Amino acid sequence: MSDYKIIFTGPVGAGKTTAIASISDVAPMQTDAAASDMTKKRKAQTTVAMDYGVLKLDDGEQVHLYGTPGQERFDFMWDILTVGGLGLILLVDNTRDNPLHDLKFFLNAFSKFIAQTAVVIGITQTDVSQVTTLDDYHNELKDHGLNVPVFEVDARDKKDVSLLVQSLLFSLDPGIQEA
Amino acid sequence: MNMKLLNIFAVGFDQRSQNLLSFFFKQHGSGHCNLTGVHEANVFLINMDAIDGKTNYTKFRQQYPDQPIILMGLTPLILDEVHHYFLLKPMVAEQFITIVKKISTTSEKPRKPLESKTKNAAITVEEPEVTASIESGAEASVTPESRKLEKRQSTGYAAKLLSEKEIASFVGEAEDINFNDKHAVEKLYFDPAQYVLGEITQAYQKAKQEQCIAVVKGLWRPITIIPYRNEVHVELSDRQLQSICVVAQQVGEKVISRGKIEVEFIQENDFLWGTVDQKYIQNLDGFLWKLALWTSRGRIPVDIDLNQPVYLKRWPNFTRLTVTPQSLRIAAYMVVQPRSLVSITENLNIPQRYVFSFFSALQMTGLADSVKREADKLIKPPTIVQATKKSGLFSRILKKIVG
Repeated sequence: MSDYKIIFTGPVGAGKTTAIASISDVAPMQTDAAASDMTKKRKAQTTVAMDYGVLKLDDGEQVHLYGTPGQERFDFMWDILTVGGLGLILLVDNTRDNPLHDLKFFLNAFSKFIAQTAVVIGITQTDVSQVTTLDDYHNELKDHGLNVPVFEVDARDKKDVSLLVQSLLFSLDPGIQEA
Repeated sequence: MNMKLLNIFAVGFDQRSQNLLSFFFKQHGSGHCNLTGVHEANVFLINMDAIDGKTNYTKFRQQYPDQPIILMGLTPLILDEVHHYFLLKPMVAEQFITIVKKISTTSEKPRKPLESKTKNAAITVEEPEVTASIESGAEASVTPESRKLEKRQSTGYAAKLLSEKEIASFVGEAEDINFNDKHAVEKLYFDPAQYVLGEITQAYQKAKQEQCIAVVKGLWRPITIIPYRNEVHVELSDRQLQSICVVAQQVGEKVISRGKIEVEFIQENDFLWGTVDQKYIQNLDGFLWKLALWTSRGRIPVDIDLNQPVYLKRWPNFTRLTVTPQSLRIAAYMVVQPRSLVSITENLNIPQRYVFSFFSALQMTGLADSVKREADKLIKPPTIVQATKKSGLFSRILKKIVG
């Protein structure tokens, strides 16, 4: 049985966990939940290391959905997580102070992986703030030499997240047949 | 067999996990379970990996000896002879549903909610507020106003799943033509300027340029276009709009429409905002997209050469638009390099009307156009779309997430 993975990334609060939860066959688990009692006593709240979900395909294969830690102090994990990944889903929170800066940061951080695979971008919270428009994101992407899917996304909406994943798959291979 | 509603109180989960559980119950609980406070609960879900997992279990078992308890943890365990259920982390939908069904169809009688004063020591457990907003980076409380806003926007903006009838209304039903048949090719074209689409598109572009509001009159009800908000106020149903779109206002020199369409441009400060009813507000991009599809119905705009390359300026915002069959695939193919519409239909081996409708919508909304540069015309795209090594895998994933 083969296992594959899709990486979800973006700043803290962008909706990675929720987006994974929208399509995952299992409830996203925080991978450091098994910390020892001593560690738990030092930290009242479980520290987020990584979110995880899975898509179970008909033939027993699994596609693992990994949400990278959004905090920059965990960036050492990003390279490890992307090894063998199919592609990248970058979520950007439109209500943050400088979402274009966030976009630029993550595109640079994952530039090697993006060059080898593909990236699609979901903009969350556009119903709350429209200061930064889709035109702004596309202009920023042009500076990076990229013409990739950029969608407004409600991370709770399975259809929105599904369209993001679909666009990633078609970006990787337009030849695949639609189900 | 009737299934009881399960009101589940989760013990030992932080706010973030509580929100996830609530979301997971909605997704997979089939309406039979909610996350609630301790006083309303008839089932308890205890996180055994939390600091006080075992202590919490003991407390709740003592307080509610007859109440179903679900233990959740990374490793399976059975604590005592008293029956309880166990959910292994990560929580799998099938396992969860099995337990929900068992509990809700059991003959156990639901206990009364916890009294405010009890003989035994009260269980002091924090009740984090369960929010409808799953991930905001902070624990945002939900007000009735924000719930209304969520409901309005979630029904208004989701990409539609189209029925066969709806598909036909957007892409038509014409069979593929032989591109060598001149008469058949002639029938493929339509002139947007001769339809309401042309009037509305012109009004939109002018209003956008002059940063004002355009009111299109002469239809059953006026259509108010507000470009700087990306909104349109339209009191017509989709059915009415569709019927307006399909009728040519003019054929050649002959004007055949009964009414005369007029457009009034108004500055924001002079506009009577009292005439705008929020329930008739739509996303402007989605509105123009639909109009383009209804008008096209499988045809292409008159100034497009079937055999000359066209290019995609940028991906459409699919999550907020009507998604016609194969359109993501077409977009992914177009974005690689300029290609003619003929080559797109042939290389992807999909019905021509799907490609033509989609391209018409792209072009009318400014997302695609014919190649103007000579250099681009010289690029010869590959003739056949070759399957990659992972095509089979991608198809299986596609089937999973679309189904």
